Amino acid sequence: MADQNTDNEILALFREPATKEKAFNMLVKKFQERLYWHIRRMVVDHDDANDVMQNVFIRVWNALANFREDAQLYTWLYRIATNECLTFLEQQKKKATISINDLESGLSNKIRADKDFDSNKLEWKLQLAIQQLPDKQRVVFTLRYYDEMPYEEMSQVLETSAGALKASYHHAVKKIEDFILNH
Amino acid sequence: MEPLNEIEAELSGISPVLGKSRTTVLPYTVPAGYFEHFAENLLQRIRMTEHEDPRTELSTLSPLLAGLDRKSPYQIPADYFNEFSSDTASFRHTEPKLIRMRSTRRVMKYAIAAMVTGLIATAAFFTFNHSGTDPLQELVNVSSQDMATYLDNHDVHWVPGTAVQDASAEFNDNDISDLLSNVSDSELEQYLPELPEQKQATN
Repeated sequence: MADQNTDNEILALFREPATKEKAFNMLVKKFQERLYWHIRRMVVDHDDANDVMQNVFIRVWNALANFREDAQLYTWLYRIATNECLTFLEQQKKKATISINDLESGLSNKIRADKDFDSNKLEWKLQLAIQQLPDKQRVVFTLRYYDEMPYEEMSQVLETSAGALKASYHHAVKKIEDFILNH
Repeated sequence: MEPLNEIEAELSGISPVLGKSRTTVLPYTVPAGYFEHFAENLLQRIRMTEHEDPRTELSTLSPLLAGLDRKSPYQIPADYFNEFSSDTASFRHTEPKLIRMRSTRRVMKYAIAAMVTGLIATAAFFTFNHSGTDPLQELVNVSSQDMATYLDNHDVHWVPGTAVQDASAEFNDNDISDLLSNVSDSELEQYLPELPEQKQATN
């Protein structure tokens, strides 16, 4: 509830030209880490994550004045971030004219190329397993597993029914378990 | 955020292996100071893209360039702008000729219609006018009786079974006399020297 009040305060400040930048600064500082990690888990590379992050917040800057307060600010931000991630990954596929499998292996290669990569550590193995999932299933898994997002809120972010999201999460967990046991 | 026990209970229900070893630690690293400066860097980028005063924008981007004299070093001919405006004023009074642009779509329509018509005509020609059989070969199959009937109907005298080369054998002296009855003696005398000797002897 305290969060909601702060969101309303930020929105009120943003609508005033004199305090617009200050409000935006507050908003970025409040949500940047959560959104960054959500994006980073999707695109893997920091530079790519930074590009997507900037695009997300520029969209927010342009659309925040029209944001309807009947929705939660953070689910709205997650929706923008998720859409930007999916658009970015789609562009990557088109640019390189590579198949989905190639893109997945490309993301896995990026993980393996990390200076701290250690294939014996579970957290790295988990990242490799996550990259095997289709894009949208990956979003569902990471939002539930890492961000612990309730299905009702995820439903607002992804505009998909809670039932379908539960089924998707179930499939994703099974695939990841299978990957970890066999690699 | 959902209560942790619900997330873990759900995960353990689907996969006991993952539920037991759940780790939310991300192995990725972020450059030092990234989050501290992200908001300010972003706002700077936004300010640059906003429609603000060009002088302020330039002074933000490069105080050196903002401080330079903006006067153009190029020269123009004397009285250029006055002449230019009077020239354009005279252009404005002349009514431009209206040229109707041919519609490309219409041309394409006609071209396609012509092609279709051509195709239909060619197909029709080959269907109705080109049987693919030799007409002389077809004549062999016509009976002599049919041929005689046709020739009689068209006033052509022909006896079935009589070859053209045999026709000369039917002429006798009387026929020749009839044929030459209208020819004068002087004309015959002029013709005689041209005949071979054997023929002359016969006459």
